[in-house]
Amino acid sequence: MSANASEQRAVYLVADVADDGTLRPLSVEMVSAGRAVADATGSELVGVVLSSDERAAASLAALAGVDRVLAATDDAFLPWTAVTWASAVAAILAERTPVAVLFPGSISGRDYAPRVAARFGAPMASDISAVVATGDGFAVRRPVYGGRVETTVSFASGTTPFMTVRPGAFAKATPAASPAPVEVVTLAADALDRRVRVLEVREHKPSGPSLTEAKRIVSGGRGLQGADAFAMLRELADLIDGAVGASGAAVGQGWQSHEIQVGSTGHSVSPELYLAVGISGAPQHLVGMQGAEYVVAINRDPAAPIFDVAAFGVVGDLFEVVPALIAEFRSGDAAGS
Amino acid sequence: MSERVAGGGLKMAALVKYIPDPNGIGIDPASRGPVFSGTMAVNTYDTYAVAEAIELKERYGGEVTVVTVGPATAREAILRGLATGADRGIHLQAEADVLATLDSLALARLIANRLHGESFDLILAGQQSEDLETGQVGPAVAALLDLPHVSLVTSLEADTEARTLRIRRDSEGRKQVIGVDLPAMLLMLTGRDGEQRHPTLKGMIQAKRKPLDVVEVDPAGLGEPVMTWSDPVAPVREREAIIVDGVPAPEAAKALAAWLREKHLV
Repeated sequence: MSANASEQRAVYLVADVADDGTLRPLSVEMVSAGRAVADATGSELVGVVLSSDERAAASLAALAGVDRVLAATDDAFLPWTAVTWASAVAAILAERTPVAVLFPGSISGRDYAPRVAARFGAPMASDISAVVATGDGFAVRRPVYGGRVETTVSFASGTTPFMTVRPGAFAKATPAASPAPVEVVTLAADALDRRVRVLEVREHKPSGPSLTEAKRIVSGGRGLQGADAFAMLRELADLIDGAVGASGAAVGQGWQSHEIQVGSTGHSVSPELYLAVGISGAPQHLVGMQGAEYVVAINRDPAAPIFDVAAFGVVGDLFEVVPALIAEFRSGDAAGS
Repeated sequence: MSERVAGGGLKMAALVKYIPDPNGIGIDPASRGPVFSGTMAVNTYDTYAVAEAIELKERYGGEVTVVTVGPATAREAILRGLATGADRGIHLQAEADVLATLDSLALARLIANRLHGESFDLILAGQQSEDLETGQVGPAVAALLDLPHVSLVTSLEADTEARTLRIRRDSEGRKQVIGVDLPAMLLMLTGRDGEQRHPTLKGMIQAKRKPLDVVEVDPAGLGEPVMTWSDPVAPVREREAIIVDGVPAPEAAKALAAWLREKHLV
């Protein structure tokens, strides 16, 4: 990254783009985070969009808070690979003087952002959930230990902080009165790292209502204490025509197959109802269920972060509450029929 | 490239982190800080990396080096790898309070500096750690060693003649097959068929005879920290949820069912 005194100070935001070339919803939340950093540092907010065409760049430019957008288009950007994106972003940043750089806290963003940060020797905070203006700059908050606690991260002066933005933590940016200018950026052909080749892509289609299509999901976590209790969740899911999911913790313990894992290392789901049972709500899990319309949590720990995203929460013993809920639906069906 | 393993095969390193048992963390009501059970564990994802490396060694030949950064107690994580079939260990050792000041990039630099020059064909690590969960160290090590990396790996096959890998990865419900040339770095999401190797008593005895390179990290060589962080606390949040607490389960279930019906969610 080169110094240039005359250049307007700028915070860069690398947008989250789907493999079909559209802007993902997390990008809209990232604009709020980026705007907070830009305001705290007296900078403009510049979007960076890598895609196969310019649709995503136009979508980002249409959001209030974005001052301008740099659009790089290349067929090599999709399907996404960490090495190609890291090399492209590094090439763009190398010619500029960022005050800070924000990346999506999505599965892909968490994967390539550290590569870029290492390339520039930049400090990096993962999964930020808040930006705090400090008068002479900013600090960020991020969750640790499964999201049960959080820490405030400060960056040394003279550094260019990098960060990934946690999904669901920032408000969605609103549409702009008029779109920000979009500048097309051309990268040198040899700038892109093409060492990782995507040979095949298959969408996973399990039998029954698939997790990604289900309108109702009953999902279990560490609190289930073993594989056996998932039978109870299956019974509940069947009663409400739902699918069963599992947290990374439950899969890691070997209680359930990775096929039904929800979270940063599993599926991203967007049901109408997400019923989280014995799930604490680690950021890696929240990433995968941020698209749910209503979240219901059953957990014995009132401090569990899952309650922060829940519309309805029951603090209690899931081994009592779930059977009671099953009984409730059975009697309700009987009464209704 | 030098130091190829004799007779072909794969020269591999598996990175492991020794962490507070994720099942043993609670919140102290007074300080709102985390309290630990004192039990330590090898990061689950890293156990997959070690198991996969040993599996690859058995199939293609080669050798496996288990690498960790941690205080003296972290040697246990290396010994577990050695007991299940790894060949040697590298322990980058420092006091816990020194390590606590290191950010992910500083940790990655320690690892990359030690591994640089060893000409590993393949470096494996877990997808992320379960304690600090930055997910940064793996990609950063790959970047510092200029290796391509592939994350969320579930299984792989090697062509040791062509020196290429065919990798399966799972990302957001999409299954991908990836091709990459060696040398490369992989971040493991799951173990082979979900199986983890468990050390036997015989294995533990043999492990203590295997070569273990202990490198004292010089705190003076680490430079000034580029970032600092506060002691973690449980956040006090404003909640918009309807919370049912301290109510017998049947009543709680009745209230929840009524709410679900009212919202037309069931």
